[in-house]
Amino acid sequence: MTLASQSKLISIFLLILVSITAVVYLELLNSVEKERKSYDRLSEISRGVFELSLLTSEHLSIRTRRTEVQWKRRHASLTNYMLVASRTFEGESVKQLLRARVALASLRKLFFKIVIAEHKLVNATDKEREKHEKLISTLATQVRITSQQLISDISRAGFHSLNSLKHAEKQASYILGAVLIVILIALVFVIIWIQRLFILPIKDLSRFSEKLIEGDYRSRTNIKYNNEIGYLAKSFNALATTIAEKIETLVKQSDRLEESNIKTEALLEKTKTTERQYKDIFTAAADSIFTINADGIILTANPASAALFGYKEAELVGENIKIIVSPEHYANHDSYINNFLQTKTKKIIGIGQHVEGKHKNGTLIPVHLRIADMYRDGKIEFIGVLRDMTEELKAKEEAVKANELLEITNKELESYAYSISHDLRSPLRSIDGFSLVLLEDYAESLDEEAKDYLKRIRAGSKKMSELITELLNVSRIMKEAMKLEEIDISALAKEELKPIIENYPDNKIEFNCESSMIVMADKPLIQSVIENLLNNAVKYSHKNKHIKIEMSSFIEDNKTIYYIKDNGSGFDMKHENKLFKPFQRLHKVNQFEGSGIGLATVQRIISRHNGKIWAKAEIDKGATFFFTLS
Amino acid sequence: MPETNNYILYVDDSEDDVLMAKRAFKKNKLTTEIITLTDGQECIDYIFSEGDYQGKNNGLPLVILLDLNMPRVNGFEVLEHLRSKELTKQIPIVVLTTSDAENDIARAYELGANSFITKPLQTEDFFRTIIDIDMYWSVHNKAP
Repeated sequence: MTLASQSKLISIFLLILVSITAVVYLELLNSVEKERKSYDRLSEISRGVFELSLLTSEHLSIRTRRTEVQWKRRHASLTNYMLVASRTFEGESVKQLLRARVALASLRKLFFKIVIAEHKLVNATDKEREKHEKLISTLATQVRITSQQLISDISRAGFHSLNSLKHAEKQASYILGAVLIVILIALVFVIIWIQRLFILPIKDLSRFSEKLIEGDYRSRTNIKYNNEIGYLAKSFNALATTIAEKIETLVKQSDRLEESNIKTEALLEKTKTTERQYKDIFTAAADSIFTINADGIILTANPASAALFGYKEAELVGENIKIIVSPEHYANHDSYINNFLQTKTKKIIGIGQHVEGKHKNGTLIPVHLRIADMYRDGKIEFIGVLRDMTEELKAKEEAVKANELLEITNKELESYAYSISHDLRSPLRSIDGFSLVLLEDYAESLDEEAKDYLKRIRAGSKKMSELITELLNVSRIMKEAMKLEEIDISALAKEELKPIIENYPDNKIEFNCESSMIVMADKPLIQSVIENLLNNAVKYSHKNKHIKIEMSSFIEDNKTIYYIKDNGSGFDMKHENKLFKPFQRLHKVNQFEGSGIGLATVQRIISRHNGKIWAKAEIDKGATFFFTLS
Repeated sequence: MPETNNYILYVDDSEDDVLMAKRAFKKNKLTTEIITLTDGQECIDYIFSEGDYQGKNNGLPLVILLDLNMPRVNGFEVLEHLRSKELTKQIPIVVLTTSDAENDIARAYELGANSFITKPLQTEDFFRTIIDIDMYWSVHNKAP
């Protein structure tokens, strides 16, 4: 039950207590008042009875009309009063009163009898008078007795009433006392209740909070009420837990801080060493190194700077950087720095650029400049490294010139070779043509020997024209633009091998090829390579009945190496260097046919693809051609 | 207006090739006359009756065999000139040359050549080509 509802309960309890008390008190008051009223009425009645008895006595002594009327009136009012009062009485008093009323009625009868006797007395004779006088005196005696009786009755009733009043008062005080005691007990109970409910837990809490204040964050309160105090206690516990955690974190952090402080010190020491090293580098560097501030004022300059620009180190420090920059670069320099300061865009910062420096004697020096920004004590500074480019530029220019010349020469040579090859064809055709004309038109006048010579002339020219064609092909390969695409050389090789096999119907050719070797290459060119290599492999193996050709690849130093291996006649490795030169043949002319230009073509194609080609062989044990493509 | 005559005009500075072409014609007993000229200028003069051929109306050839590499006016210039004139616009021109360079072929077709033939290296093949051209242009392709 919550405190709020408990305090409500207490209030209701107290309210009920107070109400009961009030009701009891009022009830008691009421009963006492009732008794008092009865007593008052009885007193009134007894006073009336006294008065009536006095009036009786008076009338009996003076016998006037006034006393008679007075008595009757008093009697009537008393009778009336008693009638009314009798309704409010109860118990013993009612009986007394009833008796009193009866007595009062008989008193009236007696009084009337006296009055009648008196009236008779007025007109009576003496004899009669005596008789009447006697009657009156008897009646008077009766009246007195009845009056006495009445008085005594009323007095008794009054006594009773007084007793009941006293009794009622006593009872009322007893009850009141009892009620007060009950209230007292209830109040004590309520106080204990409140104490248990509020004071003790609050004391506990305050003790607990004192503990927290003293720093004992590990203690927990065990107050377990299912009310606000309980909740508060829980919150206090949670608070203590949070505080304990925070303190733990703080302790850890401070530990870490200490650790990092130690590290920082070590780092500082290291930094100092590094700084010394940098200073040494700064002094010993062959390049010129400057630091300048945002206004372009030189802060430091190394000996190389002094040497490069012809100043002393001390002369440079404090000057504006402009004194060593060519006038052309003044404006740029300022705008670069301003631009960087405003926009933080590194237009030249961090990127090298070629500028012109100015020597003390006014000559301009080509330099390569790199600028980096750095912050020292919160201020921006720039560090510039300048390299004297005079020698390098000279060398570069020469290299470029030489290269251009070489390129021109190369191109000229190529087109020269091309046109020579072409021009060679015409005379060849004439040689061959007129040899043929001679053979055909003058066959009768020529003897067999002459005809044989003419045939040899024709064979020679045919051979030469083939060579020219090959040469033209090679030069075309080098001239045409390459178009790189993905090519499956495994499929290509199988396709290329077919027409080659047809030329060797007497041999059994076994071709083992790794499947799906994909390369990036120019298709016509790589086709020429594969065709040439396969053709060679078959050609130099055809003396074996069973030709074995293997084509595959492997990876070495992150490069894929392709190879074609045969089981043919091979070659002597001492001729390896001649292998790829045009018109160089490693076998006797009549041993194998060929122009001697195939491998030269292959090599040129491979090198156009930024690849390499080489071979390994042994005489009569086959040859292997390896190649790479970029 | 010169009429179209029954002859082939062969323009080539190579005397040997011209000689062989003529012999091939004679040997194969072809009826078409072959007239040979040694360079482009001569070809233009011959057709338009100018220069050395002033006053001579030679008529138009059935087909012109044209070499590209010639002194004075080369084959490309002849092509350009003939194709620019109304008179010679329609004459079939076969370029017959030693070159097989792609840009030569492309340029010749661009200038209006009807065909481009590289001179065969073998003499027999050369004869065969010349005779085939004659057969094609003078017999099979004759205007109705």
